[in-house]
Amino acid sequence: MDTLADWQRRFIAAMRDPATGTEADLGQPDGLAVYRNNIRQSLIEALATAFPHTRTLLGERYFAAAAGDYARERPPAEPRLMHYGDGFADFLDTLPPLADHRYVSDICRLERARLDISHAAEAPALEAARLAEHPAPEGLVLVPRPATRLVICRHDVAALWQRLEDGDDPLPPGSAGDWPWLAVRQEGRASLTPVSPFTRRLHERLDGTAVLGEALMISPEAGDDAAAGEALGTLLGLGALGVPGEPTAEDTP
Amino acid sequence: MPFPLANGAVGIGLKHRHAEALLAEPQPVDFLELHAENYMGAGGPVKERLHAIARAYPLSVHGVGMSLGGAERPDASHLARLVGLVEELNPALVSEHLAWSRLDDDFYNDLLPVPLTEESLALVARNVDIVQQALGRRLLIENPSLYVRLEMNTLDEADFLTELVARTGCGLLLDINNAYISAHNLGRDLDAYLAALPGHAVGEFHLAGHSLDTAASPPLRIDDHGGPVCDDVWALYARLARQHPAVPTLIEWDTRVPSLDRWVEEAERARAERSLPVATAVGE
Repeated sequence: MDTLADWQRRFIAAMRDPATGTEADLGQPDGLAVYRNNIRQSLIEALATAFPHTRTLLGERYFAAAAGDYARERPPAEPRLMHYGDGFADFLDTLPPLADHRYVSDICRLERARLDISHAAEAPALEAARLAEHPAPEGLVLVPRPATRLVICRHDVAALWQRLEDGDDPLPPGSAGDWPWLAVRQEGRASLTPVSPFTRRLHERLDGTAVLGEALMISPEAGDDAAAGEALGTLLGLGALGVPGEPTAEDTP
Repeated sequence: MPFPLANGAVGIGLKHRHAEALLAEPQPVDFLELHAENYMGAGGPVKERLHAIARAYPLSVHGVGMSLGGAERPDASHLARLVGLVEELNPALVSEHLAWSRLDDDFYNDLLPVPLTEESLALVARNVDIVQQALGRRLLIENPSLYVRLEMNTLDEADFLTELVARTGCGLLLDINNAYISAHNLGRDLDAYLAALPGHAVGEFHLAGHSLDTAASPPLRIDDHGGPVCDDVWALYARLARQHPAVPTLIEWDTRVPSLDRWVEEAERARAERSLPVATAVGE
């Protein structure tokens, strides 16, 4: 007789592929189909809840098919479905019918970022006035707050995103290229904002290893101090930076 | 100390969409039950609202992802998160399922059936022990709704649960709807099953609606928690609640979730049913 672990492996094989679930000791076919459907349908629904705008763009039927394929190929690694689908945008990029519609995965990444920041740990935001009062701010090591995500879109989807947010009919995306966005939750409210390339680079450099003075040297060859200062102002204004010297909680316990 | 539950308390599930109304004015429910995994984020508005609700209502924390019925030990990270949530909320009840959902680092989002063998019993008892030790409190284990008969079973489910209670000191969450569904789907004698359960260990009742899949052959009752409790289950409940008058009752409703008022109505019916004259057993 199988050990429990061996039997479970055969049961899961039957969940993944009905053709393999023919052994009588796994259970009756119609009953097995209930479990198979529960697993698949609950994950499709979890993805639909996480990515409503992506679903709008793809249409209900195509979204369900793509989400079902994703669920079969990449089951969750853990029971917190709020974190499920972190690779869904990359998965959409592999689908040939979407080859000419890559902006869909841009929208998907923005939705994922919004969901991630909504569940991230609390941490106080560094206020510009507090930084200005510091006697030597250039020596501080600043870090993004946990409830912050940088997303690089490959199309200008700002107008499209706004229409989706407003419940209006989608329109085609703008031009291709690197279009950085920052998703930030502050005081319970999530905001997603297109930012400049300078702001993106400063955010990337504030990784906990560089002091502010070094991080601000974004483009020394161009000597563009004004742009670097503006980028810092954007990050502070959005509440994207943590308070130096005050530990932030881990994103996941 | 957690909010104590009154004898015969009746509660409903906690859904995000009802949180504001629950906080705006006290609702006539004795407690709220939440699915642990939905509140295991690190922070944010959902967590903030949960803490506000925990200050206003007694809570029950109901886990759906610990995979106690699997061959593997409980996932350490998930267990730590459950311990953290229970410490945060100090709920009146903590429960999980006789089911499995994790294998080889993948999670399968359903409550899968456990073969009822001596090996499984030893492994489930080990897993329940681990969780109870980590929580420092008794866990209630819910009987499953089943869609397949497993040929490798060597124990009856009621005997399995009785022995699990004896070995671990856990309690029993008696889901009456699940018992009804499994009896139908497996051709089990429902009254004999209920009579064989360890009644002294029952720490909570669950009630829920279900649907009938007539396309299956034979038709299967599906535990979708998508409607009101059916009359047969109400009749069973009236009988069981009189046998266990102090045991709290939770009305589940997880799909096609109704308005808060409609859900509270269902809770009111539970109060009414348990005060009716003793009902005759289903099928008598």
